[in-house]
Amino acid sequence: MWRDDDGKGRVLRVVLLVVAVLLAVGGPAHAAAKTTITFWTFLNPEAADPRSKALKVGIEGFMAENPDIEIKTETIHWGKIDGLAIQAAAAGGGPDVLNVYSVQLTKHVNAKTVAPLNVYSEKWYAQNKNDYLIPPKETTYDGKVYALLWETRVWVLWYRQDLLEKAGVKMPQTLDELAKAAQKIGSDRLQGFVVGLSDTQLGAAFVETFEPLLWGAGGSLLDAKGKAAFNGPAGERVMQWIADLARTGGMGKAAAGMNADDILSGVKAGTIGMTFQGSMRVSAARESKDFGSTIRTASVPGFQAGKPTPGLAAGQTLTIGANSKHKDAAWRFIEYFLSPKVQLPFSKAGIVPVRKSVYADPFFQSPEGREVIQWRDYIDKHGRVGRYPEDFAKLSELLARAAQDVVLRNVPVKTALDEAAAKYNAQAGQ
Amino acid sequence: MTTKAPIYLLLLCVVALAVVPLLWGLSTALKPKGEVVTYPPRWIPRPPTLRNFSVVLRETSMPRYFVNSLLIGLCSVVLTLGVGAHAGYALARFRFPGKHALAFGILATAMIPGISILVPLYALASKVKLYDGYSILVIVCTAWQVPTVMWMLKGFLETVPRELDESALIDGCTRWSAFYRVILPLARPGLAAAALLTFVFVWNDFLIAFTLTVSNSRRVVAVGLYQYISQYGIEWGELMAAVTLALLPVLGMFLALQRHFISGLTAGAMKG
Amino acid sequence: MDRSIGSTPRAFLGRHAQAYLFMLPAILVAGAVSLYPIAYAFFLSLFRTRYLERLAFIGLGNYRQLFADPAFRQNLMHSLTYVFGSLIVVLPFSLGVAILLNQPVKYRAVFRALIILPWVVSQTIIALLWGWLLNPDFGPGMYALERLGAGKVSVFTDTRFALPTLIGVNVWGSYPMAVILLLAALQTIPKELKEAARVDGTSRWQHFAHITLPLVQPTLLVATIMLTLLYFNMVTLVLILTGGGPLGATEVLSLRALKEGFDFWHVGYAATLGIAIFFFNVVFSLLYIRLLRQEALQ
Repeated sequence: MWRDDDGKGRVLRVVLLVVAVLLAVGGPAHAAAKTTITFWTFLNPEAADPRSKALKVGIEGFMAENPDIEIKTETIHWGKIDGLAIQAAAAGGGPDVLNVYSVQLTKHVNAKTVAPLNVYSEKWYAQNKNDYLIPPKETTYDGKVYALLWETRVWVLWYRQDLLEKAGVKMPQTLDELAKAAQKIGSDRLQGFVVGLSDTQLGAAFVETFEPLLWGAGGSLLDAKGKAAFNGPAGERVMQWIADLARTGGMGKAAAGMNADDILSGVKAGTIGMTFQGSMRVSAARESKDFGSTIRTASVPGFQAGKPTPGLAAGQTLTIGANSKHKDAAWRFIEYFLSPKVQLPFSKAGIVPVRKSVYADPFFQSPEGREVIQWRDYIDKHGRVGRYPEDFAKLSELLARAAQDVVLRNVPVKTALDEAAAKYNAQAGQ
Repeated sequence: MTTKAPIYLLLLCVVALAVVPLLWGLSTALKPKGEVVTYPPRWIPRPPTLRNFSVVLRETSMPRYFVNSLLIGLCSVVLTLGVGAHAGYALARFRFPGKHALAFGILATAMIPGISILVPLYALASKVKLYDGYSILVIVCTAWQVPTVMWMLKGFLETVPRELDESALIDGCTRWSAFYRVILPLARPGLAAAALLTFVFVWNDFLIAFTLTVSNSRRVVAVGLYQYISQYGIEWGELMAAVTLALLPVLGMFLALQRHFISGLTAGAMKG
Repeated sequence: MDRSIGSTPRAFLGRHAQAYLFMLPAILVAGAVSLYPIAYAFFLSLFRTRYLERLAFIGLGNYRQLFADPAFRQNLMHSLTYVFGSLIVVLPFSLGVAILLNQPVKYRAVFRALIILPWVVSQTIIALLWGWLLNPDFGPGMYALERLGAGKVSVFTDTRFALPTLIGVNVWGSYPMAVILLLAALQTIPKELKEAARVDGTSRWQHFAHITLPLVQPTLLVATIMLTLLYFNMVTLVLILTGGGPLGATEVLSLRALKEGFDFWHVGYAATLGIAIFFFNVVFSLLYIRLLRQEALQ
């Protein structure tokens, strides 16, 4: 390779070639000149799944109706989109329209990555009040609206109908009945009920189960001052229920290492009988050839019959980037996205739409459609949108660890919760 | 000479250790959606399907990501080897003031944990307007690999006897041509190893590419793979198909380079 | 021993200029990319921060907090166990494999290609794949163990098994890197040395210990440094395989730095952790170099 006569010259030529290639091909990817607004989302309009296809329909429909605006969509992984948005905003950049998951909204408001949209949303909501499922007050901070939900999902009970039937167990109406049912259908090959306690994904799987049960028991994660309140009697009751599940064999020790993805896999493989999971993942579970057709959903039972646990609701929102130079255009896109034109294709892709008029579509007569209506009713009657502090990641990590302590090391429930509360309060406000 | 059978046996054991987990990935790639996770786990897909591969190749941007990764990988290899070989030679042959401090200083830049410098790198890239481009990726990947490649090549070049330098210089070569024409060719195994290590590093790198690019046209394979981990669950079939495909270019590179891992070069030079 | 020709003052200067010229590209590239960020990280570690805003200069306050933090010591212990536990397994194993691959056998290229495959797969995929294989409920690995009579073992929920399992997976994913380096080193051993020994009648073990080993020592040093840096800085594998659990049993220092910086947005504190990791990396490298230079002198 180096045996040429003009050894040094050859090296130089290679280097120059490399540099030339880079300069020719490698410049930053800029777009062309009309009003272009950048839209950051975790969905990929070029992907083949139904939600992505619905997104593509939405984007193309908007550009067809608004030829003066071009949308440049950036697909960013949902685990990282928030970090990137915060970094970009801090550096003076960032997108015009940003998709923010409701759980992360507080963080973005505090990190100043998103701009208030009152000036647009007030007029819009006045016109659409009766048709819009989730009032903007859920996404209002200090009197300013920062985001609007364009879809929602709720955490429901997933259960294997065939297993309940085979064991002769009635549909559980309370959490105690659920625990007994889990014991009955459980075996060494199947966990009757699972709540995932894993540290991965920052303990989200645990909190998604713990929080609504906590509400149902009359408690909340934090008090009005932002101090830990989950270690009160309500929290103890919930944690004890989980501990008992593990103790009586309704839940296996393996659950302590599982996160939402593992639980989904377990349901598909038929090694999990019941669990509380998000409505948006049920269709994935139903892909299982062996068990997909017997998976059903229902409201999460509460501690008392007739009073289901509040439905934990969350959803994707659209926001306007703080440094956007095209806020009017950005709003036009958001408004379009919230219209029934876009809501309908999305609802057929498994999301719970936020425009009530959409539910009149014949799709909702089908079994899938009726299930979505069930979810909508659950949200309507018992739903609460979770509002999380900006250090929610730390909170959920501490809670998952407390649960692991209880299940794996038999630490008494009160001790574990108090410890987690103390740690949270100590670091809060840092 | 003892029989070779135990050697073959041991090699087969190591191969099994290396390959069996990956076979599970391949098996998953060939399964239809509903069959991916089952209990008991099934190794042979019934029936096997190529649908996942076809989706990855035809309905996603994976091919584009492959091209990007290849481009960045090859450019980084050329640059890293070039820079690293020169520095390695200097360390192997010369004595100069500040040699050890400089060598260690450069190596120290590889000791900085990647996660700590990602945010400042992002800020720096934005400031010099190279954010979201190929060039910044090549430069950063090169910078991260140069220290270890430099040390590695230093080690290899040290095993090339100084007498060869001497005889080349006596013959009338300059230091430079002695380097290019005589010494470097003898360090071929080292260069091949360094090329492979660098290429694989760039091919698998996630953090750098993720931090410094955002648009789809600049995305690399590692970041593309990560997209299969969605909030709706992991698309195992397609993910494993994409992973299997992603192995091929590196395997190709390895097979191309591995013939350079052949001994006897120094022997030839000494006798000639 | 420098036997370079030319000891006149002019040649002396020429010699040094050449050396610096050879070094220059490396200095430029490494400096341009790494110096600013590390300086910035150090700068950031001296502040109390809120997201990416610097609130107040607190000097060494973050460092004091770090040393007082019991979790820091645990994280450090986990990191050290992880790094050295992996090294103890990886280095001998890789050397053995390299020697095997150096033997003149048929289909050598095929063996080599297959054996390096684990390293070609990125950390994310390794973590996902092994997480699945070892899942106690539906993983094929655990299923095989069950069939062999071991009962249901849940490695990721047992604080005794989680870190060793992590080490095992890490070794699986990284041994080829050392193999490639060592194989290349073995290849550059001049044939005469190998033949001479055989003629001499030395045993295989003596041949290995007195000839092979010393010759691959520089490469062994490089491999050790590379692997130590890789392991100490490794984040992705641990993040996805165990997330630091169970009960923080696998939370290594680098993972902690990631969480503090990117999940909790304690950017100043994360920068402090980063500097601490940097410090340890430097210390280890210096130790290795010192250690192996002494051995070489003996």
